[in-house]
Amino acid sequence: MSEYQPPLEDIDFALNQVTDLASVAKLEGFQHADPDTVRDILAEAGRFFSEVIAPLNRVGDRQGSRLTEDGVVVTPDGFKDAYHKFVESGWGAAHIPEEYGGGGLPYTVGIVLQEMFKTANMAFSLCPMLTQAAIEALIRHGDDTQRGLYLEKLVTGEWTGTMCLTEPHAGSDVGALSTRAERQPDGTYRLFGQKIFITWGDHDLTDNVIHLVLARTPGSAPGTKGISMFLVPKVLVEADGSLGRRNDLRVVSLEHKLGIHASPTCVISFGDAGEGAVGYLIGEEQRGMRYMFTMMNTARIGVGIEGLAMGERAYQLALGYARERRQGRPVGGDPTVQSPIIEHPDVRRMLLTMRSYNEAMRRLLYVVARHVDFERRAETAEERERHGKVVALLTPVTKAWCTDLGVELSSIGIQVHGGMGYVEETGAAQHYRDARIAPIYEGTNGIQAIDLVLRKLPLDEGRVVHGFIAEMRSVAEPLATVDSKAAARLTEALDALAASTDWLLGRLAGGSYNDALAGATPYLTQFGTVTGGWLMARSLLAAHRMLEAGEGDARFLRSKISSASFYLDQLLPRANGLVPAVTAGAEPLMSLPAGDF
Amino acid sequence: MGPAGNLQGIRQALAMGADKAVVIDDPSLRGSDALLTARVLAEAIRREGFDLVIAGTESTDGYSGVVPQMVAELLDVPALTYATKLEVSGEEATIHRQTDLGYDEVRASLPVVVSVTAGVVEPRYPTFKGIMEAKKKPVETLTLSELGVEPKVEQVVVGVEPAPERTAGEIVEDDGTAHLKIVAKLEELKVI
Ligand SMILES: Cc1cc2nc3c(=O)[nH]c(=O)nc-3n(C[C@H](O)[C@H](O)[C@H](O)COP(=O)(O)OP(=O)(O)OC[C@H]3O[C@@H](n4cnc5c(N)ncnc54)[C@H](O)[C@@H]3O)c2cc1C
Repeated sequence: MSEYQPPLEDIDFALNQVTDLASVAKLEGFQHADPDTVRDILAEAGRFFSEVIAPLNRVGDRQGSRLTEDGVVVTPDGFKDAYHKFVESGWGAAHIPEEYGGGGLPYTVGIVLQEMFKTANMAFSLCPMLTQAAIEALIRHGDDTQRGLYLEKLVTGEWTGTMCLTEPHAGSDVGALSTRAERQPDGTYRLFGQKIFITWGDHDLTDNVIHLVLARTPGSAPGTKGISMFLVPKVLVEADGSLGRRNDLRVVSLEHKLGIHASPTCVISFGDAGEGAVGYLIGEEQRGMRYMFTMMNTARIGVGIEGLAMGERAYQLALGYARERRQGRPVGGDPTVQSPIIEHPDVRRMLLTMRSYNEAMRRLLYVVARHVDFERRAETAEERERHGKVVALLTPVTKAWCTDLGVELSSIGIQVHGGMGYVEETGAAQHYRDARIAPIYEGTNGIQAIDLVLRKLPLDEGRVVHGFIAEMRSVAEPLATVDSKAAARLTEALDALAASTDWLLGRLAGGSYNDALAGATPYLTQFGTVTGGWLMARSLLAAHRMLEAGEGDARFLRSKISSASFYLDQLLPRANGLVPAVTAGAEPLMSLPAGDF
Repeated sequence: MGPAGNLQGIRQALAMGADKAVVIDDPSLRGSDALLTARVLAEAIRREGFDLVIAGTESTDGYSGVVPQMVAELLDVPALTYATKLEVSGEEATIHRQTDLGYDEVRASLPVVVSVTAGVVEPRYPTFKGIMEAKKKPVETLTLSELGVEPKVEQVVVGVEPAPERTAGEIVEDDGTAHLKIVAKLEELKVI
């Protein structure tokens, strides 16, 4: 049996009972994504990821990708073959629009495919994820020639893509980057500079890698405003699509890192040989950062999935262990035999914490994905705009809340294993190590919190965030009819969230930005925790309704009620405890001089 | 052959590349024996026309392991059984038939029935496109009367007995001659 079993039942429930997939299938162009078809698709995809991709997770961790002396990046055993099977399967292109050779599935389904890939093998999944970003950039901002030469191969996965932003002095502060691009008489550019931390920057899976590079043209505006985006292939592509000579770029080294060992994290030098790396401008000069922003939401949501992926994987492993490992004797049990540790209340608490947070994350991700589909395909411009604003609001929350939880839950996963979790043998440690990157890349979680507070709360003078809170409130009333205690807790948490929100908006309005920044991270956690509570309430209501109607599998539905109740009663109240930290202001943080720390 | 309500396996086969499926669904087939199953399958295959019939070696419920041979007999064509490898060139099929010691190479001219052993070939994974196209492929459902087969079951179950309990293993204490006792035991069991 594979180490990863796609939780198809919960996925199905989350898609159909909480997210309303059927409403997505009514949108223009998504008619083929009816719930029955989607169920078939996900069952087959799940089998593929579980049987082909998941078994390579351990070997990927142990071997890692490595750089040979002749500068070639070699992936771990089995990756190449599995990647080709992945390309053949077509799962990578399933949610790309049909007109570009994809399968035309909605993002609400695509996100489940991504979830499965990431849970099966997070390090491996980054390769198609970055390719996806390159595809989006070309679709939205490339010209016909560029699309003609590169798009098809990226969509099929015959070539892969990267995003090259980071430089030694430009991490969170992308605007500080200094890679330069010089325009040539023929309209192409030559790039010179060094990029670091480039995920899947080179490898032996395909014969070309298409880099999207942010760089500066001479005389451009300082900061993010002056940045342009270039397409820079590893091997130059002739006008007829055939491969030409190697471009002037090379991998200087790979990083040794805590986790995701199979994913080569490259230092790439452009223009080392002197002639400069040939690059093709995407769109117009000095608009690169704007283009990045158009892809940012799905990229960040994509990283958010990694939190769920690691939480789910850690849970499955911990659950298996807790059923087998025998230690101690339960209260009132047979004193002569050791019981499986799953019989101990404290171990139950750990498992239920993982299980409930995982369900909450899954619901949040799917609901956000549904908003993305409506943002793209809803009938009227007003509707599209309204959904777009919810996506904007929820993106930083999804990215940061889920990835923080991925770390927390994979840590709990180790705890369930006791000492065996800390040694590498069980695999629990790998999930924790892998999970740790997700709060860092694609904008650190600190930056996400700032984005939420500084950019997203003020949208429409606070009406977007308050509208969302009001929407969450509407579930309290039906909830009260089946579980009045949970409804009271949800109302209390929503009141506290509304108060935190008003406090922050007040600080922003008064120009006290440092106060707002000081509360940003606890606020994001509060926001995520409450949003999770709202979704678990919907989950609970759906399970109740189905039980009453005699639909579905009663045992499964009762397990949904159990995890939702646990969340609402025991995890949701954590959010309220964050209010003092959100509203303390900057003074307690800033009063201690930096030298006195 | 089976209830048309559950087409999971059929849809998977179509998604893997089959062009068409025929399902024989008839309440009188419940509790069918190997021979009736073979008659039904042979009739359905004859109706479609065929060059090459590929079957598994046995089902995971009945385990009789004789259906492919019966089908071949009813169709009056050769049966190439227990194949671990199959090659078709021109009018001839060649298989490797697994044996205790290795394999036999067996040939027959088409049309032919081939039964393959489990775990030898890795079935391809249905592709996304394959799954979507499978939705549009024809699935024909037939009853026994449409097929013209009599639902006659000739196999009689005369008794069901539980498998014997596993007995505890024999423990050989090592007094310096344990290896000889083990060798003697293995010889007695005729495994060496
Ligand atoms: C494994 C891995 C893969 C990566 N893949 C890619 C890739 O494919 N492409 C790519 O371009 N980059 C990639 N990166 C880079 C990644 O996106 C950056 O590491 C990240 O953006 C953070 O930048 P930094 O490392 O310079 O940290 P810094 O920006 O130096 O941040 C250090 C700390 O300071 C905080 N901080 C920084 N500025 C502020 C501020 N204004 N206010 C409050 N707090 C602040 C941060 O939150 C963080 O906690 C990758 C990194 C790693 C480790």
